[in-house]
Amino acid sequence: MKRASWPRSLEGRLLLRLGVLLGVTLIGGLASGIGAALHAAKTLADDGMADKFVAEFMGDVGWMFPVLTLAVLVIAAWTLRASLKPLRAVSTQAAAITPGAIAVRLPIEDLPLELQPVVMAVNEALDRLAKGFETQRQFTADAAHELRTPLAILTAGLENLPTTGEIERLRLDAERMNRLVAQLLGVARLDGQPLDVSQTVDLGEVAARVVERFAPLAAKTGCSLAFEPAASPVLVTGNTDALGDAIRNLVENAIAHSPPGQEVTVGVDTAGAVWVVDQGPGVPLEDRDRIFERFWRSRERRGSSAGAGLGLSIVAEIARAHGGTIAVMDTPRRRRALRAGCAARPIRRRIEGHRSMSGGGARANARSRIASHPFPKYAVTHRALAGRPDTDGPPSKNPLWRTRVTRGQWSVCVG
Amino acid sequence: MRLLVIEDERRIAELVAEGLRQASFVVDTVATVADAQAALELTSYDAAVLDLGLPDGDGLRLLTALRRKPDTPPILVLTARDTVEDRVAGLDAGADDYLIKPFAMVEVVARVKALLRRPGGPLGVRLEAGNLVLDTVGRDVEVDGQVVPLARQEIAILEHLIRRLGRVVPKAVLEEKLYGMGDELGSNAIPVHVHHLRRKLIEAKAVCAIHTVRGVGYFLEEQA
Repeated sequence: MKRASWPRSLEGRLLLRLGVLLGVTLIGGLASGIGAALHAAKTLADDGMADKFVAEFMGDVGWMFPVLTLAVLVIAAWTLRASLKPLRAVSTQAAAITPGAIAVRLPIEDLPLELQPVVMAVNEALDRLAKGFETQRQFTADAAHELRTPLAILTAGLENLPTTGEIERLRLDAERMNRLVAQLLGVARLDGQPLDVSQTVDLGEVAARVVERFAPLAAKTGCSLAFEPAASPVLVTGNTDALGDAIRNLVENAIAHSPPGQEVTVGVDTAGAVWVVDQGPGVPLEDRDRIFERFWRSRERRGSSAGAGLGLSIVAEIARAHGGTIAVMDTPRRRRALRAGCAARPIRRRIEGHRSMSGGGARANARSRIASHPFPKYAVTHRALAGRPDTDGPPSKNPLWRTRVTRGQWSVCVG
Repeated sequence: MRLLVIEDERRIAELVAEGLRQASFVVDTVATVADAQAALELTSYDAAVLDLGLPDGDGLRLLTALRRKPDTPPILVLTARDTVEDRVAGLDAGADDYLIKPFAMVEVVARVKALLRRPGGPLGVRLEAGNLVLDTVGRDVEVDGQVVPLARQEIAILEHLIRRLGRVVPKAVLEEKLYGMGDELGSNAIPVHVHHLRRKLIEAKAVCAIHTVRGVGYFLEEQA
C-alpha cells in the first residue's frame, strides 16, 4: 500500500497525530461545552443568567483550549528536535567514513536511549569491517612472503644451472610467474587495503625514477626509453607508491608492444597528466573499452605466454583510487580531447599512457589510411584523470604533441 | 673477496651463495642474527647480503646495530617486504642497497659488485666493464690492455657510469660531479662529453656501450 502522503519524519507524524487528537478534543469539547451551555442557557434563560454564563465560560476556560493545543504542539516539536539533534552529528560523522578512514566511530553519548542500540550496532559492524580490512591486508603481506620466497628459490636455482634451450625456457616461465605473482599481489593490495591518497607527490620525480629503473630493461629488449619532464615540478596529492606502480605498468606494457629500435616516451605535464607513448601497432578500436579489464588479453597475445592481462587493470584501479579515469586515446584528436579535458577540469590531473604508431604524411592521408586499414594505425593514450594538482598552472604545451602536429601526424580519439 | 650471506631460508642461502661463488667470491652463510654478529666480529668481510626476516630478531635491528660500528662492510638487503615504508626503513637503518624477492641472481651479483666498486671499496680502484678497465688512481682507461686517450671529464663520466654499471646515472648527478672540475658547464656539456666518450669507446672496440635515456641520464651496459 502506498503511504506517500503520510509524513515520513518522526516529528511530522507526531505533530500530525497530536494535532488530530487535539483537534478532535477541541471540537468535541467545544461541542459538548456548547451543548451544555445551550442546555444551561435554556434553564437559565429565565433567570437572565445565560449571557453571564457564556461570558464567564469563555473568559475562564474556553481560551485555554487553543493555547493548550499550541503549547502541546510546540513542546512536542521542541522535544523531538532537541533529542534528535545529536543524530545530525552522527550522520556527519558517518558521512566521513570511507574505505580510507574506517577508524571513525559514531558518537552515542548524547543520543536518546532508544536510538543508542542502533548506533552501537553500526559501530560494531564498523569494527568487524575494520578487522576484515586488517585481515585482508595481513593476508596480502603474508601471501607476498609465502609466494615470493619459493619463487625466489626457483628463479635463483634456474639461474645457477648451465644455460640450455630448455633451461632458458624455464627461466622465462619463472620470470612470467614472478611477474604474475607481483601483479596479483598488487591487485589484492588495491582491493583489500584502502589507498592513502593524501601524500604530496612530485609526479615528474616518480615518472623519472620509473624511467631510470626500466631504461636498462628496455635496452635489453631493443627499444629505448625516454622521459619528457614538465617545465616545472608537478606536485599532486596522491599515493607515491601507487602512482609509481601505475606508471611502471604503463611502461612495461609499452615496452612489451614497442617494435625494436623504437622509443617509448614517458611524459608529465603541468596539468598533472602522465602519458606513455610507444610506436607499436596500437589498440584495435573494438578492444579499447576492454583493455583495462582484469585478465583481458588482446587476440594476438591470448595464446602466447606473455602477460596475464593484469597490468592495465591495476593502472585503472589506481587511477580510480585517485578519483580519476583512464582512457585509450590517439594523437589527432588527442589535442582536442586534452584541451576539452583542461577546459572542463582545469585543475584535474591525468595519468596517460599513450601508444602510437609513427608515420608521416598529411592528416588527410592518414585518415584514408584509417579507413582502409583493418587495424587502423593510431596513437593510443591511456588517460586517467586522477585527483587535483596542488598547483594549477596553465595547461601545458606538450612538446611531444607539438612535434607530432608539425610532422603532420594524425590520431583518432577513442577516449 | 669474502662475502657474508645472512639468510634463514636454507635454499635461498644456498642459491645466493652458489650464485656469488660462480661470480668468484668466497661466501660464508649464517642463518641467525647471533651468528651474523659473531661472524662479523671474527672475520673481515668485504660485503654482506642480509635477509630482513630472521628467526632470532629483525634484520633491521641488526642493520642499525652494525651501522653504529666502524668498518662495517656495505650491506645489500634482500627482502620479501615491498611497501614503501619498509624500503625507507631499510635504507634509513643503513642498508646500502635493497633488492626485493623474488630477485634475479644476476641482479644480486651486479648489486654486490656495485657496492664493492664504490670509492674505497675493494673493487673501487680498478673498475672493469667488459674488456674495459678504468684505473681510478692512475686516471687511465684501457681496452684489452691498450690505453685509450680520454679527456679528464670523459674519464670522470666513465667512472660514474662504471660504478653504477647497468643502472641509470641521472644527468644531474654527472653535472654535479663535473661541476667541481673547473669547466664552465653549458647546458649541453654532458651530452657533448658523452658523445665523444661513446665515439672513442667504439673506436677502441670496447665491449660495453653507453645508452642515453633521454630526459633522465645515461647508463653503461656490458655487451654479451
